Amino acid sequence: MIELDRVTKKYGRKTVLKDLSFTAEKEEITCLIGVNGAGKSTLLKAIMGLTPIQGGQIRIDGEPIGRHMYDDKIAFVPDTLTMPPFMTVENCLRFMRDFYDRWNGERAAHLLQFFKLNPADRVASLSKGQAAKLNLLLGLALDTDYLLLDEPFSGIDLFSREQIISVFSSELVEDRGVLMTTHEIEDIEHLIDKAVLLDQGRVIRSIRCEEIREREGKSVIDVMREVYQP
Amino acid sequence: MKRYLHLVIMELHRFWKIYAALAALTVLSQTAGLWWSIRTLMKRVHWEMELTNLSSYAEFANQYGRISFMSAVSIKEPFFTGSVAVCVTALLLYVFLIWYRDWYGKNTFIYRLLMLPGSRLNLFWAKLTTILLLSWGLVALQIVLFPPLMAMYRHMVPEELALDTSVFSFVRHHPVFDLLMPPHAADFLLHYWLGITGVAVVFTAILMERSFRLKGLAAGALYALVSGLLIIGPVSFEHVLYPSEIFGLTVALSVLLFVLSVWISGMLLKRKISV
Repeated sequence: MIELDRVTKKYGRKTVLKDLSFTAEKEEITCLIGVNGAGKSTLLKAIMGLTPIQGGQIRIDGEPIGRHMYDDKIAFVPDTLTMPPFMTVENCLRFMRDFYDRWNGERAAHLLQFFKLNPADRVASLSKGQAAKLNLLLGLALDTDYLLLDEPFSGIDLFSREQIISVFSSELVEDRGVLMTTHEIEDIEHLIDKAVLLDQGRVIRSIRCEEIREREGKSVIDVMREVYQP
Repeated sequence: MKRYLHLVIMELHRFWKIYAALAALTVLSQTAGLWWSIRTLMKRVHWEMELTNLSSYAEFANQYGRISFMSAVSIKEPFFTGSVAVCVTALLLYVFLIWYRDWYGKNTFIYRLLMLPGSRLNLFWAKLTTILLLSWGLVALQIVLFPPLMAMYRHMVPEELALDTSVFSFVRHHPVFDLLMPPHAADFLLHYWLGITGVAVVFTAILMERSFRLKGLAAGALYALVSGLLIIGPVSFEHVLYPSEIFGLTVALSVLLFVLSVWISGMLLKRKISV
């Protein structure tokens, strides 16, 4: 379980995360929802130890984030491709294989075919959709328990989006915990188990999607309307 | 260790095109410079011989002296020191660029680097090793280049006019090459140890800036300034201290600064760095 307990993060005098607490369970897809500037990306970076926090605690399966977790516990797919432009797709895969003991080469090869990526293409020449797919491949091919995704559908075409969405209903993520941010709720609403709604660095509502559908007959978008446009 | 080595290889690979250009510039500039200066010198010799009715090179050498490799180099000095200055400047700039290129540019590679399993200090060591290897590579190229340059000198300057000089002697008497590649092992080690310490201090200052932005920039600049003063400080006491004491003090202070820089950098990478 990814556990955030009263996490506070400041950029200078501006507080971007305020006493923020929630959990994201394994074998579930948790979606962080919020308008731009709500602190979603900062939160994912804080979980990964990519930006320091000023208060609170972040634990993954009861332990604070540490260097050993990057190999087998948690992987992060940011909203930008994390490989340098001079590398080819093949170089990227080799880089990952060299550094991560839990790199799953077989899965990487499968995803390469599935996403129709050309190993000889340079990162610099990839379209936005191809870059997003490669980024996702680099995260999915790591045998980790948790996967963090920051805006995986941002700025990509419909067909690439459909291809990426299909990954979330496949065995590639079924036994993992996924924590993701997205503005494209309509596309993935049927897949998410839990939604955490953020506003100005605070959790303003946390819902179990199935429950709210059955109990109140509301979709996540209905809840969002209630919360953000009262 | 395996990850550190992979990082070093990757860092070297990232710079190879610029590095090859620097190596090519060094070879071409120094070869062309020497060829041009010897031609200029020989024209002067012929002109002087004609003017003073000297019939042989031996007579010219008796009257005006021989042409040494050092004097041939000094005629077109910018071709030699200029190419060295370009290489040194490029490497000095790369000390900064080797970090900043991971944050800026089309893709943010620093995300991936900071998420690699193992100690984040591996990044520091790999980048420091890369700068050192790049520097030594250019020094090695220069050492390898001297014998063919000397062979060219011996081929172009008539035997009666040439003065046999060893690479060792030439380097020892040349102010720039003596600084960059001191022929004595102790001097070589001291120069490069101080260089490594300087790079470690700059890396720490960069990581301060990357961790605390503007405040970090000020702290980093102050840290670099104080470190610089500490390194050159002992030399200013040369009227009070013996040379061996100055040497000992410089080495001790540089070791202290190096250890401190590694420790601060490790802490920043682990706890304060921000993407």
